[in-house]
Amino acid sequence: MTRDAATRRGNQHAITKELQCLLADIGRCRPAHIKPLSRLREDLGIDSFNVIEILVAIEQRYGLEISEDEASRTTTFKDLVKLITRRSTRST
Amino acid sequence: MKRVALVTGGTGLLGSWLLRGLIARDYEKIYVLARGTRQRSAEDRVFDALRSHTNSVLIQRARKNVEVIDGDIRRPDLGLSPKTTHALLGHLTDIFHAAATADFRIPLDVIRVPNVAGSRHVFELALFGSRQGSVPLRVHHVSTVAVAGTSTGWFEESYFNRGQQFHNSYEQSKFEAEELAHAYRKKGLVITIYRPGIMTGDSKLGRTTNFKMIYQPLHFLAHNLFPELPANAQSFHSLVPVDQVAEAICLLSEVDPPGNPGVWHLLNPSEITVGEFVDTASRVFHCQKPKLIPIEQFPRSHLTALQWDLIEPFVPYFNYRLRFKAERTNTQLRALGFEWSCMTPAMLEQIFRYCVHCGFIPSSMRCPS
Repeated sequence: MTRDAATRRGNQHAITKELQCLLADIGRCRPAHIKPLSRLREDLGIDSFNVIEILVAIEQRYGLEISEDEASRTTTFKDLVKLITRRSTRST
Repeated sequence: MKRVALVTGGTGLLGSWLLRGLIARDYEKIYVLARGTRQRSAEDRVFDALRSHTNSVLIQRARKNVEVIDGDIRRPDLGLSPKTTHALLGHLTDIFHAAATADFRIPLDVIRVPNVAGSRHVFELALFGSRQGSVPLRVHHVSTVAVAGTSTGWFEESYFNRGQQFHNSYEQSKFEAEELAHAYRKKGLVITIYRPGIMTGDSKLGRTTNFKMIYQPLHFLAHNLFPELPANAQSFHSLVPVDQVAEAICLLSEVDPPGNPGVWHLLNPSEITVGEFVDTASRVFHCQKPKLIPIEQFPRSHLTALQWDLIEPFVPYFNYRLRFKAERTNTQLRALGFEWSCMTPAMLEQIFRYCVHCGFIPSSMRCPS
């Protein structure tokens, strides 16, 4: 594994942990229930209002602006992680 | 005269408090219309809601004179069989129609189903009953002051259609339901309309089961999602605790039906400002207090598209200018021995603290800001 790949993997791990906390705080779900393919609404029971709150919290935390199109395409936990890693990579 | 009531919305916040108020009175029988789910029967849902705020003495009483009927206001005849309808309508004296969906973000065609079509089904059944039954039947329709929509100045109990527009689908659907109530009055149905202000949890412990409407801004405030808010700190609102709204409806339902307009405004004369609301939230939830900037001066570029999406339904209420008159109602309520609790900062704190108590807002965040 190259150093870049390791850094990316480390970042992704940190992002995953932080997102689990955000989902627990705002979406009121248990971190242990959150799996990569968990659907935010159907599997984790997060309502649409709280999903937007989570996305706004991500915007603030990572200094991103998420378009409404990107928001509507974000349905799983993995989508959230990918959204942040993709945008972070693009901005570095 | 023996009184027999039917309550819709008995699993909801106001409906369950209303049911508690009726159980404490001398109703011979109270029918509650409710829907069962895959997991729980209609009866379990009604009694679970009731138990969340009602003592065991009244629950015992409820076991004797409350009968839960599995039905659905969204369906014609409330989804009841002709046999059940016939048995019910023969002796009903009062229908308390409290079922409604209260949410600012639901599309109009969706929210119309429970709020407008549902009301039509209740009124239609009541009209049929009032023509068939041997006892006079009154309908108590729970509306909202939000039917005033974009009206300006003062909105009185006698006002209704002033050519107003609406801030959201909820307001419009409740207006349309009230429009139906007026139409059914013309057909001979006796309908009293109750328009509560913004409802909160109960006045003693702040208990609620519905965390929509006023509770949604609390949630995004607690999570520090807005360093700046398009809000006017001086805008006034009348917050009415749900237990008091239910008690006021129970009391007013016992006075002679008022003539024209037959509308009561259920509003607490002690109002709070948006500034006090935000201050209290930041104190209770230990969150940052956002800077409040009136909408007319708020630069749109200060928020992202998603922040606007989140906050847009609440902006009209953060910058509210409309005032409501409720002297006629409050004079009548005082004559009945009822006084609204003063909405002090301590009471507001109690209502907000319940959000932490029940886990709606975490007591400490896992994710530090």
